[in-house]
Amino acid sequence: MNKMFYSKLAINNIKKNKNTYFPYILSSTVIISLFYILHAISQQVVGGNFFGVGTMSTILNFGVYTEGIFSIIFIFYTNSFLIKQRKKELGLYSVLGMEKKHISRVLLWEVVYSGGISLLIGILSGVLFGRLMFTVLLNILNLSTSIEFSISIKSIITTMILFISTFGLVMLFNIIRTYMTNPIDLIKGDKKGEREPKTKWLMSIVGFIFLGIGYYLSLTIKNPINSINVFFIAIILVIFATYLLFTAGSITCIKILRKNKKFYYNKKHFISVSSMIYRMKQNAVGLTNICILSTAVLLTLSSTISLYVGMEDIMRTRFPYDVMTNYKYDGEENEEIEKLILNNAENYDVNVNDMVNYKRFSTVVYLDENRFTIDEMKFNNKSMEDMYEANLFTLEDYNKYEGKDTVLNKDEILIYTNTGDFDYNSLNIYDKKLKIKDQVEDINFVSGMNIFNTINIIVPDEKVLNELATIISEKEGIENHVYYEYNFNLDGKKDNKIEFVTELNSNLKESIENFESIEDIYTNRDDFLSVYGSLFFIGLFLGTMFMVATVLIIYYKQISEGYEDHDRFVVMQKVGMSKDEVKSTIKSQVLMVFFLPLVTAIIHLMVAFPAVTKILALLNLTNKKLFLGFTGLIILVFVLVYGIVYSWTSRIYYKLVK
Amino acid sequence: MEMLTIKNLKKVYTTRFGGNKVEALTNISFSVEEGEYVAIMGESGSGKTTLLNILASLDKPNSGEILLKENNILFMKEKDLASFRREHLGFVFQDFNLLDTFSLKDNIFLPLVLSGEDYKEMNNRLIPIAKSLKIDHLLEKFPYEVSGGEKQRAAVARALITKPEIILADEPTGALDSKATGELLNVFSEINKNNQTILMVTHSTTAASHASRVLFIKDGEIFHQIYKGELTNRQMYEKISHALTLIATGGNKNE
Repeated sequence: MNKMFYSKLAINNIKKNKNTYFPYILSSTVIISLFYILHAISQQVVGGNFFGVGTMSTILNFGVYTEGIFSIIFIFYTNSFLIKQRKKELGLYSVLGMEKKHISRVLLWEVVYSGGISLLIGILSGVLFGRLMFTVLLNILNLSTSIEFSISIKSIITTMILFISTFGLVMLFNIIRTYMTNPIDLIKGDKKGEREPKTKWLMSIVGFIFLGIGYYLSLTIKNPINSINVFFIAIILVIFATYLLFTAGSITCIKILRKNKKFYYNKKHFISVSSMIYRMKQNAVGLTNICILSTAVLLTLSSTISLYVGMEDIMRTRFPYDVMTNYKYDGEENEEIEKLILNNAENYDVNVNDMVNYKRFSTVVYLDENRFTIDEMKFNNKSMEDMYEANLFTLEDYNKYEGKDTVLNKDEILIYTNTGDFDYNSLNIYDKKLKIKDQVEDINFVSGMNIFNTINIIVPDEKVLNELATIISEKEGIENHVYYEYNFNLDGKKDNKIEFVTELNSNLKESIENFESIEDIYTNRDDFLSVYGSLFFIGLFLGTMFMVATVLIIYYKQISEGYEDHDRFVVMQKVGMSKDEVKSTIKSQVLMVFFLPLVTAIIHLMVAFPAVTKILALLNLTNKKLFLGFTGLIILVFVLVYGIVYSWTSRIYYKLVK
Repeated sequence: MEMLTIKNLKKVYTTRFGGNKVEALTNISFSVEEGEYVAIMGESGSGKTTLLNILASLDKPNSGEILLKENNILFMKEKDLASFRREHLGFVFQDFNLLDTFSLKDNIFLPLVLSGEDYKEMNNRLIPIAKSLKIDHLLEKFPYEVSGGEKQRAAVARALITKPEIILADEPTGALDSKATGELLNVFSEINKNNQTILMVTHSTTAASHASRVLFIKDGEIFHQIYKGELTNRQMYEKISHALTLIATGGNKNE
């Protein structure tokens, strides 16, 4: 009987507080079902048997852990909002004669019900939508596999364990909180006159400095391979700076504004300025969280989507031709190769197009201004920034495939670097000095990686090429050769193409003495798909979860503001403000508070943009326009969602205020 | 000269459910002369607060007229009402209604800032008022740092700083202890001597005994009135007590 009483009271409480409880349960449900789906899918993939399963399950596993950690944080965070809202109610219980242990029991039941419902519906909808999401994943990956998506008992158990323990901790936290506070405080809650926050000069200045350093670091990153650590430091600095500036910096700024009598004692600013001090004091941490989460959503989604969509571009940068074969050059080219390729193509019912055949000498060098160097001492001090992949081609090949008719004298060269203009008239390849006739565009028929700095050199003829190759090999003391390549595209059925490549590979190995390697876009494409597709998929999940969390925080913020502003609204009206004036001052403040994190997030994103572009280039995504476009699109969608959530919660807010 | 004239005021509330009608004000007519100090007394539910809200233009009557000098405030538009309220009326409330986020000085400045006054002028007006109310040393403090009596004096300063035609006080002593009550009533008498018209709603006999005239309101009507004339506060107190006893024991209209 007694037990029934507490559980009934708990149910009643949940019903009565549906304004705060409903969003909590809904978001917990979404978070739980997202976790279940991701876990179940990663279980399926691990058990699968298809190309790229290894990388995929690593990425998915990483996703599961990240999702799990953030789930716990979010549930905790939203719970603390929830319990704050109900201070007064809990205080009333104690006044009405309930002991702390009784209140604890009610709270316990509340967690049992709200957690139980979320867990039940979460897992059910997870099971329901899991198959759908799995199909989405398979589509993203362009896979037609025979794995059936089935209900995963292991995932259900893992999800249950994770979230039951989370809710258990939440329960513990709530109970400890009840024991720590006394009823009078609970009842008065926010009624107590709040002290004006102090100006924290030090924190504000440190915040500005951190932000400055963070931005500076991020904007000056040149080569992401060397500076990936720097970028992480920049991210951490900016997170700290955001926190410091939102908590201390904002208040300092407003107080400086208040000191300016002319500005402050103005109808438009008077009320906003003074109330913003308090609003920022109460909301700074929440707003910082919204800001950082928003930045995370925007970054994750824009980069993963760009990677996925830009994959064909990436593939084309890496593979200018579908199939690329490579042979050692020893004075003449083997004419059997072309025949072999064409014969094989006929056998496998595929067509060979756009075949190119050129010579190339490649090496890795350190560039000291306009000199190749191998100075031992300097080597050690050299960073990767001075390291270049050097490719040498003959003018004949260049003119043929780029459609040019350039003429070069004996000691003249053409040059291209991917690190900007090369401001010298000559290039010293060790002891050999060559005159630079012109700088040219990137060479299209060559495969590029873009991870490294690249320098392409076009020399007058084969003789010079061989001569330079000898000089370089001798200097470096490594055996290096001139190679020639046959590269081409294929038309036909995908399966035929793959079989063709396999067969060609073994034929070349058998009958061509100088054969070195064969690469094709088809198997690589599947490999890339499994990496970028899974990243994109995880990005969608994390993005959705961050979005849910952001929405929820905005919602709770609005509600708690609404309750507090109600009294102020009444006073201002009595003192002689019209309803419209009051409404517009409150509106402008709320607008400022809620759009501050969004604007900050977008600024952060814009500052991070160049660095992220470079990191994406590392992953071979060089199409800046694509990334820019998707970033813009994602920002637009996010602003839209944010705006909708804002206007929806504003309506609830105004109801509370009136 | 009549400062405030009220004619045949009537206010009926309709309850939200069931449509029961409650007459808060049946038929109220009275007038306040310039420089007069009028107290309105009545029990809870007698219609005092409704009357004051209507005078403050926060609520509208069903019928009747209110003239402040020559202005009929019932015909004003919502837009003009706020500035009218700010410039012609001064309010003192039971629970002070100071904003927590402002220092006392800024609270007092609030109506002037809203009217677009410049800082120098505001400061010039503030200094004499703050001195006479003895809060000049507290101006930079925040409401939560001062006592109830001090808060109420700041609220009076806020009401006075716009040089209003009339001060409307709603139970101004309701939240104060007896010492602070005494001080505040002295303040009111003081400002009344400077020809400030005051209309105070109260159920404290002590507060009412300072007024030059006391109106008794019951069941939404003016039931009785007493002029102070040459009486002392003490004599006035007795006279009011007597009247209240009479009203409470007999003369119920509905019997």
